[in-house]
Amino acid sequence: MVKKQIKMSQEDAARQAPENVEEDQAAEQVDIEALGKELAEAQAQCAEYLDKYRRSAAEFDNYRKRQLRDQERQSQQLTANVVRDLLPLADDLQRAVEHLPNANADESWVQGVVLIEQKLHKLLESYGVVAIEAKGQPFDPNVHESLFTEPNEEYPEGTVLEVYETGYRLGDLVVRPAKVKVSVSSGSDRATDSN
Amino acid sequence: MSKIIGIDLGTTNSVISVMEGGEPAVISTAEGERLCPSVVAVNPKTSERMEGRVARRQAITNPDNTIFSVKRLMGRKFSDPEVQKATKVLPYKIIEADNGDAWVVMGGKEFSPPEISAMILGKLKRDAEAYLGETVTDAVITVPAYFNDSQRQATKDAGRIAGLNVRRIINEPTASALAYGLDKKKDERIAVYDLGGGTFDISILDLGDGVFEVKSTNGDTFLGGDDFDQRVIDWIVDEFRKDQGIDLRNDRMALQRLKDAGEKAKIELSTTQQTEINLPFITADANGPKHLNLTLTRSKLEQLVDDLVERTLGPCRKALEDAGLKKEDINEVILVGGQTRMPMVQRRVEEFFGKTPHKGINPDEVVSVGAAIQAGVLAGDVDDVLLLDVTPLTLGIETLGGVATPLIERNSTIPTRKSQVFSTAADNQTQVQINVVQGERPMATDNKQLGTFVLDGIPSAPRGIPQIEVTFDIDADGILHVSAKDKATGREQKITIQASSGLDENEIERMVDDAKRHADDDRRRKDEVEQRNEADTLAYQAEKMLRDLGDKVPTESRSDVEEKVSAVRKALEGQDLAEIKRRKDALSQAMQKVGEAAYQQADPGEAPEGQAQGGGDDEGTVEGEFREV
Repeated sequence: MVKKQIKMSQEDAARQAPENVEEDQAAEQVDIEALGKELAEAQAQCAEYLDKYRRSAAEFDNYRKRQLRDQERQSQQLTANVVRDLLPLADDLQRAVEHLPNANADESWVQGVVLIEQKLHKLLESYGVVAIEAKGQPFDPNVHESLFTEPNEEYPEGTVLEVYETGYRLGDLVVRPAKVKVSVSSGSDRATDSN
Repeated sequence: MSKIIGIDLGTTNSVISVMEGGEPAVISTAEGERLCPSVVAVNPKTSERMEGRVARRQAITNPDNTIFSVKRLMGRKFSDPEVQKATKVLPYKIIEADNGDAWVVMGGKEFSPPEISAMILGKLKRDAEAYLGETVTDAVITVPAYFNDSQRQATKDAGRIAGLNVRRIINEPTASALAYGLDKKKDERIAVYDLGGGTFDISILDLGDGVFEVKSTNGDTFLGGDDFDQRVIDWIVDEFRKDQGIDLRNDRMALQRLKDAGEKAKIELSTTQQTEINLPFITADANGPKHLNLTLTRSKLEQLVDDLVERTLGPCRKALEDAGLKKEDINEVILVGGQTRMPMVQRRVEEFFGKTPHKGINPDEVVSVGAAIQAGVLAGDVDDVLLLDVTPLTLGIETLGGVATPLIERNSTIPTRKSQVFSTAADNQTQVQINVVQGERPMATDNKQLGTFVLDGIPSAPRGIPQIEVTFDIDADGILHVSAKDKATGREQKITIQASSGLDENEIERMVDDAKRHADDDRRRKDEVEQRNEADTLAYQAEKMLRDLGDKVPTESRSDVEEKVSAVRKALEGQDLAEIKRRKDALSQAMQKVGEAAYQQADPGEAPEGQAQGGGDDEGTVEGEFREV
């Protein structure tokens, strides 16, 4: 009996053994599965971070290149901003000189004012600021702004007849367009103004 | 994936923005402006097409073929009363298309409003690409809150025609709320008051779970900043007539100048109490040229436009009524549009709603900025994973004389790292103490002491010779690692400082304020230390020079220099800064003479290195007259 029992238990053990192995294997399986999942998550996160890192590195690199590229333009823009604020002064002096009464033209005081105007223009030129040609030129909206039109026989349609405010440019940059009157053919009913 | 841009496609002007390094940035047009006129034109002779500023400039000469305000026609039938109103004020030809929609004629061809808008969008796209240096394919575009489905669809179509994948159409008031970060709040009611150049809109939004819902809108399509300008111009004309008896309304050139001057005066009065309108040679009569010179005060301007501001409050009341809300129900008020820069407008809005309105973002750009933020969310640029932080205060170490030498400046974005090479302050100094300080004051003792450590084992050498590399490294968590390394031996010491535990917001503000308040005082003290350091260095150099030159220095000069060195040393013991400077200058002159004499000798030769001295200079903290190597 005892023997049999032992045998039985041995058989039991033998029968159970594979089960235990299976259990162990199952536990290992779970571990591996969990670890695999963790790894996948970590890898996904890592990929996400790497992607973000690359993006921000690339963005910064592009930003840096852009800054370099735009540096010249930015400094030009800054000069243009200051010049733009000063231009009304140039306009006023120009008007003063244009309205110079003939009777006083030879007075040395008056000539002093004319010299001041010239000096201001020389100063602007020294910054690379040049007046935009307008009168008699074909109207070009890149550098001219039309305020009025007027029927005119003498000039072809689309010619600048009069300049109300001199325009200026700094290199390629239009600091201020010339404000002008433009000819239209006299048959046209398009004599308009902005008011 | 390329960037998604945010576009405020306005009736008069449009603005583009993009997220850059986590922050919205407005993109300048090719013409260098931050806004682009929403105008398209065709030259009838050359068939050349123009957009934006250039198209605007030629509008007067080419009124039939210059299309502006096309937004007023978007997605509308020709029979729509709004379109009928527009045909009366717009100079170009508006026609009825086969499907009943309102179309326009430009350069002899018929175009749908989305096609015209697409030309503007196309220009904005090109400008953005030129700025970014990459292709732009996707965009978020804003529309007025009152736009219906067909108007929104028309806007989307415009984007498609321009080659843009319109990722989302969002409401202008919603974009403004996003720009102010209001989506992070919950369950609020927001009033967006938008007073632009030509139109006024008021919108009431309801925010719940980060989603904005438009409860009501109202407004006035013919009320804006241009009306304010006109009031100023009228006033100038009237004043001039009273004064000079001349009506400038008949002088269109003068009127043109008044327009510019009137707008400028209005803008100036948003920041000053009075302004001068000075227009010399404005006109002329038989007696010669006439000048215009007037002073306009802010209170006068406010009288001139009082009823215009009042006119905006009616729609505000209606909008509240339609939303079924009372003024008290509104949690936030946002100001949009250039005219809201006027202090009186801000005051009236505040009085009306009983809330201080949000301002701070450029009101001309806030809609576009909000669109860029929405675009950033869609592109994944905006999320919480990569929130960049900055270090709130300057970090540095204490150097000779108690000066706080900064390594990482305040507001540096972290993580960041910076190294600088320092040296010893005394001969044969074998150890340095690194004293890490935080704050904006120039003297170390006035700043917060974060930690200290000693690097020893530095080989004996004259002062200034050893190279100690100090490295500050703040990681993404705000933790500061400081290390000091002797470049000769490779010996290294380090310390880690949990900066975050140190200062709260109040403390930071106090320290920044302190720094401002004590700026003068501090500068004086720092100057003093610098003077002393210079004098001390000079005395040291003088002794070294005498040793190096040996007997090449005439006895007479030698004793002169020695005398002056001891005078400097003596002065350094005292507190008289002027005395120190005087003695230092005298020594400097004496040294120059010796130096010149030495060079005049044909062969200066190599003097034997004298025994280094003065090693006992142990002040506890002894680290570098710093020099970058």
